Amino acid sequence: MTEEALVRQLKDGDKTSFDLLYEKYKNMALHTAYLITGDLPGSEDIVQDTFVKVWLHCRELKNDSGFKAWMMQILVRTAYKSGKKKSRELPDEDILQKADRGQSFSSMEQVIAREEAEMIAGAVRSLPVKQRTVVVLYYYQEYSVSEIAVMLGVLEGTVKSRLHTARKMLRGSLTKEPGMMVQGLI
Amino acid sequence: MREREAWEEKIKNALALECGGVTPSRDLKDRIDRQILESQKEAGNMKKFSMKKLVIGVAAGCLLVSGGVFAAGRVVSLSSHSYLGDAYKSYSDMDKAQTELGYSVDTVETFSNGYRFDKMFVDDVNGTDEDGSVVYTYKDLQISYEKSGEQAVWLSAAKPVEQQVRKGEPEATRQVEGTTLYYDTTTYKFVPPSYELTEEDQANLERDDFTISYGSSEVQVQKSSNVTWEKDGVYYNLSGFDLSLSADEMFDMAEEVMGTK
Repeated sequence: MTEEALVRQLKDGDKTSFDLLYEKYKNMALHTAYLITGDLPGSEDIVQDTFVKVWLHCRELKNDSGFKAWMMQILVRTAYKSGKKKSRELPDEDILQKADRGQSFSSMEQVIAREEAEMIAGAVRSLPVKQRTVVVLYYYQEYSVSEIAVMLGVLEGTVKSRLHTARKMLRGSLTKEPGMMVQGLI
Repeated sequence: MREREAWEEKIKNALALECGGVTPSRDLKDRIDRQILESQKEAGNMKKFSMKKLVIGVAAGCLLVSGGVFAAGRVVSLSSHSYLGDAYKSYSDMDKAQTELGYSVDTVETFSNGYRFDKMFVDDVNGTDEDGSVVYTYKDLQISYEKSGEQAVWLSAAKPVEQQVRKGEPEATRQVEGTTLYYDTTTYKFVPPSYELTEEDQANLERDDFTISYGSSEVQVQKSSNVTWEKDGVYYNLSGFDLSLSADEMFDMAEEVMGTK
């Protein structure tokens, strides 16, 4: 069944269609919320709020083929509000989870790549929430500037400006790290 | 899609690595469903009725609440979330399924009346109280059997946390080597979330053999048939909707599961 057909049934109150859409997007939604907020339990709350809003307001979606963008708009706005409220401190369990993930790397190249990725991720985490949100949407989810502008309810110029500031801040953070390749970042 | 430069790919890969191993917790979907249910009640879409009559998230047509049998404690509703993508498609995977379940149960691959194994899965059943809080969770094995031209039959087997008690008289019983088999039928009315209960619904809800199930796209009434029994601490439920099987035919199938026929 196509996603449009699922959305049509969702609008008719079909719970199975809702369950299938949740299954399809739960990981993407959680990852986006996590990258914006850095708080795993808080990210689950954001995903929960998002899907509850999806169920309660699905009839307000005009274009059935635009479900993903509409759902992401709800998620990002919820995460954005949440991210503004919370500190960027990483919960202990997240740190442990990251430590566990590092154990599978063995060769020197992998260790170096891993360290570089962690530096970049750390630099993104240290960005203010406005800049971090556009970086996650633009580089990780690969949305266009115009799509991000609609999601955040801002002008395209504002998104471009935030991306520009984010790149500048990332370059500033990463040039402090020895061996980091930042050519082309700005 | 626009072409990406190497450093852009590095950012994407770094963020993907950051998310590695981050997956939704097992109870997230339950929390979402409960909040939806609460929101609908607050919005006045659902009138007050006994939670024992409410079945949510019933997966793939199998029944969590069988006719006449309820948990004895403070739990008032049972819900589960399973997806056919998680199903075992071969009966030879029974060992894996029972390992997942945590104990052995009686099953058959085929019944003498032509019903054959189709698929099976193990899901988590949540028992919730009047406030919607999950009181306990237990695992449940669901097996579906199909026969050409007939409705599917489901066999479920579980060790519930709470003792199961009967409410009301069964329509028929059979004694098999010290075990009592009970036959019940229940009318299920599947309705959309925004459905308003009619006066007739309210009156029907007073009966033990009538259940409202929220979550379908349209109003649909179906009759379930169940044979239930308990053996070695495991509760079995052989069930189906709109079956053409008689009570005796279902008792015979139950005996084949028990290995006495």
